[in-house]
Amino acid sequence: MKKRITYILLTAIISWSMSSCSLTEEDLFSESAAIRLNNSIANADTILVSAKNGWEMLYFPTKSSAGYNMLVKFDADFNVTVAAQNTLTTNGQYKTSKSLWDVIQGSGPILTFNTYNDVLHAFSDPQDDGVGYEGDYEFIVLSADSNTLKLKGVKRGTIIYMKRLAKNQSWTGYFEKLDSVNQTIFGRFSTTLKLQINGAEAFSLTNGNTHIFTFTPEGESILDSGYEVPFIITNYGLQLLTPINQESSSAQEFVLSDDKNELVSEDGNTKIISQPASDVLIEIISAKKYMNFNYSDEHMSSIIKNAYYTIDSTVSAKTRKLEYIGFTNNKGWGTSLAIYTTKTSNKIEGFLSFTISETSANELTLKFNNFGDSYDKNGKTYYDSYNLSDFVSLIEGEYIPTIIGHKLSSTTIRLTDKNNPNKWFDLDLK
Amino acid sequence: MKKILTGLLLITLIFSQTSCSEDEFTDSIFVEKSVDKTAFDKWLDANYLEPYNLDFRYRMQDAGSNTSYNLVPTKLEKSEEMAILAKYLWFDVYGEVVNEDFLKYYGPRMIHLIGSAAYNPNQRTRILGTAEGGIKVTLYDCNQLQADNIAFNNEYYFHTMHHEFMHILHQQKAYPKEFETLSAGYYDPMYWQERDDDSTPQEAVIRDHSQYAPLGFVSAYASSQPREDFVETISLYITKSDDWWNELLRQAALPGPNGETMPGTGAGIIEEKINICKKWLLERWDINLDSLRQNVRERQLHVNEAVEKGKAEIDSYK
Ligand SMILES: [Zn+2]
Repeated sequence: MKKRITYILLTAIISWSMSSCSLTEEDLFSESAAIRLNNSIANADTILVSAKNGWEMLYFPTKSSAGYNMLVKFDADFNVTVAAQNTLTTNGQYKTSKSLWDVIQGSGPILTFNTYNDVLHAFSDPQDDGVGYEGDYEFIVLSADSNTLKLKGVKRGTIIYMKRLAKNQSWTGYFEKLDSVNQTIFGRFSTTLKLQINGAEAFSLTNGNTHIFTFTPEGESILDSGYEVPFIITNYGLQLLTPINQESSSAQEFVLSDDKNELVSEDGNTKIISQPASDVLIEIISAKKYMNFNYSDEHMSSIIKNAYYTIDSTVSAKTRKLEYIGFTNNKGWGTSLAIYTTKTSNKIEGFLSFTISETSANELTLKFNNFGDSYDKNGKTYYDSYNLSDFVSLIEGEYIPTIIGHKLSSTTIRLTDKNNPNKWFDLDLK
Repeated sequence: MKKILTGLLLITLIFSQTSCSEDEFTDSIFVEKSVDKTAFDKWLDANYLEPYNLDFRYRMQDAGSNTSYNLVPTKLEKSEEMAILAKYLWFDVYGEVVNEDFLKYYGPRMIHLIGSAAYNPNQRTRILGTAEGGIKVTLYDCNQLQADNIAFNNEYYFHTMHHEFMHILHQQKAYPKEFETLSAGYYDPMYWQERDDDSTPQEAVIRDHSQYAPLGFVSAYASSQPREDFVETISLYITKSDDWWNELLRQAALPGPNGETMPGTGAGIIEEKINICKKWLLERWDINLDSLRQNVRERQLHVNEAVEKGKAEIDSYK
């Protein structure tokens, strides 16, 4: 029987590198590398096993891929349990797998998962193309204390953090939490976000729903200056693969604010915020999605509701059913007000060309472009014979837009008439 | 070695303590964490380490593997099956047919299991095994082992084991030069894989051998270079069924892909190569190839029992 001698020390020693006692540091580093290495292997073993509810692993397969969360529990008998829930490797299902682990000596202590784990090695398996997702399963331990391990993938060099999971956090609950955080930040439609440094907007952040942001410096074009920054959702917000270093501040971890309207860096100087409401509305419509009127008391004022009712009853009188009225971007007619009615299998959508413009800071103007040389005939029929004309002239005007709900991801925009607070309506992403 | 280092570590800690004015290091606790061997580790000691001085490495160390490939470890269950079957269809065979000590002297010192294949996408090839310096055999794609599919396992693992082991033997005692002359001019180290039948699984009994068999080769890989030809001829002779061989020889008797007609046909050349292999094994190693083949064939009928028995043995160490 082989015995390995390990030391369990209180946190003061385990995290000596951060200790305030500078003499100790000097003394330790004057010892040979081999001693320090062995020392840190013993430490890594002990620290890993000490987390009775395991660790949250913020895993990036490569430096250019999105991050994936895993939970990892190390046992003293060198069994390890790994759990994940994602669309890439577990088909969205919660999955766990057991295998073996060890800390071995390489060019530093190396944490290795040295028998196949269905969850972890799914990121490393070469699959049929010989490549797969190219993730590491051997990690150089760069630093370790009782709360955080900083690892570096042996092959890809990706920095991967492990954070001690709270004792009372259930594993399935952890992944539910991630899902809810993801929904709060990205929701149903991932609009452009803004990165603000010391109060000034520095970058546009796009493609967030892929978990790889495209960062574009403010005022520059995405084609010339956009670059990719992968990140991972955490149970409190998100963490970038690499920190952004700007103007002497460095930000990597972002925490959702209490009102869930923004993500704030640890030092509070860097924030990820939503665009102004007008830009959100225009971006969604430009993406050819629908922003529809919501025919209910909570979502439109009585002035609008009465006009909407007139159309609804006209449509009903002609034994059709009003399905929706909303704004979209139509292939043939551009930005349009769309109206859609049905009568069993007879379904007719009409479009009226509109201009939605940002007239001044967070102020919108809605303008009907009238019928020129060419127009959508169905739109004109609705306009002429279904009382849509009254509705159109009512909603033309100047509005103050606001985002309803959590700002980062909300797809509900309220437009309130600039001069008449009693004239307002919500537009919802269909 | 480890003890010396931990001793020094203690000194370091004491030193730190005295050199730091704050009294924060006094609460250290000294414990021993035992790394008891698992039942499988003990079984490996009894079946490989003690009798053959062989390190059966199922815990993968990628840092020491070929870093140009994306590789993963083997599932523990598959490693156990592989260890049991390698013993049953390789080590025990030589123990019975040659003698108990043969593999102790000439066998590898290390077997390293890899869970995935080593793919080379440019060449459309996969490495199934390697033998390095006559001492280390690496077996790839072990996660695909199907304990009850003999044809599949034969092709991918046992064929590979015998293939690699024959490399180890001919690296120690060269095979006759005469062997290389029989298909001289038809070896193709660059494009041999073009001769393989892509449309049929490797393990199938009926395959298209028309691109290499008429030239006197038992496989496309055998046609890459003489030393591969030599070990392919022996390892396929040991592991393949009569049906497979009859089909190979039937196709080998036909004209070659470009109308080549070999003296005595490809079938005649293959028979001649086998005779050279038999003679070399008998005269240089005192191994009767037909006895080896017979023994392996007999054992292949009882693979499932061998796996069950092996697992029970492993369990007995728990
Ligand atoms: Zn070979």
